[in-house]
Amino acid sequence: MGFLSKLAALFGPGKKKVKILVVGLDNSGKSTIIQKLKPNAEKKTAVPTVGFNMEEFEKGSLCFNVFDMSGANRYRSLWEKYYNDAEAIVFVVDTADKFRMCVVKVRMAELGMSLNRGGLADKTVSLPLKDELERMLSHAALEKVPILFFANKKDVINAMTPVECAKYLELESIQTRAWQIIHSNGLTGEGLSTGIDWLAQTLQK
Amino acid sequence: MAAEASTSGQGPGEMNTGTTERRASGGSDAAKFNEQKFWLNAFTDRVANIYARSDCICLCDVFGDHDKRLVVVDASQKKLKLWKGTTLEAELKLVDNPVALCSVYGDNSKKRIPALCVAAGPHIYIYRNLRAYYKFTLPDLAFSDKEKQVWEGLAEAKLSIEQACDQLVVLREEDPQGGNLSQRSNQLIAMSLSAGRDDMQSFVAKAKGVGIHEQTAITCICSIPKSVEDEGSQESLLVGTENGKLHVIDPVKNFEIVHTIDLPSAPVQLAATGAINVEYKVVVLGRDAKVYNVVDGQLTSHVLDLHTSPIAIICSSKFMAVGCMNKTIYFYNLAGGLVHNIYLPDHLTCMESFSTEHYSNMITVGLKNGEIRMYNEILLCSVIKLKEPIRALKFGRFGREDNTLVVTTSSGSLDIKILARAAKLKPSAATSKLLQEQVPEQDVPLNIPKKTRVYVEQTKREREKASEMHKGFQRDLCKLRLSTARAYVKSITSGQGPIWSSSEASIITNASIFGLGPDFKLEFTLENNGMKALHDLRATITFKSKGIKLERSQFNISTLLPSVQYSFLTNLRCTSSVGTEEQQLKVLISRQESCVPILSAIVKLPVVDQEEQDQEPFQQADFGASHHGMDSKADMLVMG
Repeated sequence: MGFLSKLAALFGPGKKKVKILVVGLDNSGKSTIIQKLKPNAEKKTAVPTVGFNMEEFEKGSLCFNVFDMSGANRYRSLWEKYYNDAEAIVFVVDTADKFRMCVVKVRMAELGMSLNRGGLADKTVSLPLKDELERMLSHAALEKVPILFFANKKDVINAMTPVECAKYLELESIQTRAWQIIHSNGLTGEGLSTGIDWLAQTLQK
Repeated sequence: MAAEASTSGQGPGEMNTGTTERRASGGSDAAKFNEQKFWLNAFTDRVANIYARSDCICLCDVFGDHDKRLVVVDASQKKLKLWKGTTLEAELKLVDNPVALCSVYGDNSKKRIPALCVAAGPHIYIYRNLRAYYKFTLPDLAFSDKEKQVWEGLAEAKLSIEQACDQLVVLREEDPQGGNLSQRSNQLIAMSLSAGRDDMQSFVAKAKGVGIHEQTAITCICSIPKSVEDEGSQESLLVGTENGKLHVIDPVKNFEIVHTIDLPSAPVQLAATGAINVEYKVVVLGRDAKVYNVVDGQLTSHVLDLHTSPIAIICSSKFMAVGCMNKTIYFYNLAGGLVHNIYLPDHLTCMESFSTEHYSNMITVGLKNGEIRMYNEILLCSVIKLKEPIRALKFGRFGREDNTLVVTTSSGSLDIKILARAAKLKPSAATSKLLQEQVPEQDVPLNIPKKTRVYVEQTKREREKASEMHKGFQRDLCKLRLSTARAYVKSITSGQGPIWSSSEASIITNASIFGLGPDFKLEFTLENNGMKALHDLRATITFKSKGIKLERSQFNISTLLPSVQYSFLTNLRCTSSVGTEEQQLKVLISRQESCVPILSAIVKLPVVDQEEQDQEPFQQADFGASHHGMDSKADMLVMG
């Protein structure tokens, strides 16, 4: 950051804009979370998003420019079109939908393969199929971008805890970028501000 | 993370080319397909305890909340089970052993809730919101008045049991198939053969005053849209029964039978396309291994005879596929012509059609060896290998996931797989090219020349004057045969041929030349094939060329005994070049008394190299001694 831009950041009229991409499977609660995050604006009940929605809100010294992507199967290919601009990713996981967890993350244990995921993988064994998470993390444009996971729907009985979730998604193997997982409830707004604060902090570093 | 990506990061495109190459090299090598390329293992329950065929499994939006549940009716446990996601949400006890399960959207209410139809015996139990809603029963079977009279007679004691049995047997004989009597009558006939009189009397007493009410059993059910083929639009129910009837039932009109179609055989499985109010077609798999077509409520005369036992049938808007017990799937076009067949590595257990957003007309097949094979029409796309024989397959929307495959195996385990978003089920370029290469062979037209005016006129003439032309041809053929015969007779009688025959004898001659030149040896043989000996024959060798010198040109043959071959030899020499026409030598055989030769043989001299003729003087000197001996031998033979 140059001197002038620093000055501009300190005294400038506008706040620093950050572009955030909110992704996750359909029905995981992305739009609900964003509606909740918007301060005092009209609160709409979320309907399944078609394509994507754009929202803007301020948090501290940052102005969040949020792309609320649709999680529906047919729109998932849209995500990567916006990776180039994204400065942060919010990945919303429906902890109650254990059935579709495999779409988010293909587990190596289930494949019956002893793949060393620490980087020393046997190169002859090709990963059979990229899941949605893997596809995103391996994208070149998102190499250093921080990721915030919302383990959403904590109110649902029998939902996975964030620890279970992180274990399932094998988040500990992410070492090259900042990441955080927050237990949240999109309906009540529980945990959302914690997550956004972490994101703001990370982005300002 | 980036490092991981690079080690594991083969693009889906690359991986697919790998698959297709393997596929092209041999479909049987299924182990090479990596199941995980296309299918995500969403849920596995090894102890789900499901014993149900594909007919008894249904993916249905039971509560109308757009969250589709997996519904299974299990005949072994008389239970209806409901899965939501990975949890068993509900279990219902069933009254009867279920045969088939199907969901029907019936009512016009705003909130679309499908009715679950469980067929069992003659009834269909209808559940809505998972609560018992209605019980449909098939109408009573119609029995003849005569049979009713027999039972009335029995009840009023006008008839003895023996008389009644005799009359019932007579009634039974009237129908060649024997299916016209009620169960009660059949039972009485059977009892008359084995059971005691007391048993029969109590049986008759029980039936006293009770009318004959019997229903047949339901074998299969299937839903069909009424007018629009959309999810949630109104549907009708098709019901096949054991006595060979296909009923169309309207769920809106209180489950009333709208239409009934008679089938020649009991239906086993139904596959329907189209919509009842527009245009529809039901393909019926009969128990007699035949496929019947019902188009717009009418049984068509087009019947497919499979010659082998069918297991499952699929009907789409483009084709019909029948899986049979001979490990083969036959594909028919809509006109009923056999288009393709697929040979499977093991016995087929179940078959399911599926379409996704990108791929339509896909077929998935469960095999006895635990393989689940996916075909894009006829091309193998993917293979999943499980450890046990597959029992049932169901494809559809489950929960919020559109492309879900539900698999149950013989041990009762449940597997739910999700088709990955990036799955490429398209057959490879190589295989589709192969397919394309096969097809044009049949389409290339033969190079038939154009019809010229001459040709047209000729064919016209042939058509009009066929008999005259035939007669003319026959007359000419006769003439040709006659002239041939005449020429043959002439050649025999004038001695121009190698065979001579008369009433008392026949002779065959054969002449040949040996040597490379300029010195040759001429040999001719004579054989008498007749029964009598011939006497006083003369053989003369003639030639035109002056350059040929014969050692001997005349042979006197005193006797030719029957069945003995005589051979005569002479040396000859070419002294100068001989023209092609002059190369011939003729051996003429004549009888002493006449000058006309009776038979002749012609030999040709080979071309003689001029240089070799330089040695002529020396060879000539050698001539006399050696060949005189030969001649004497020949003469001796003749004499002998």
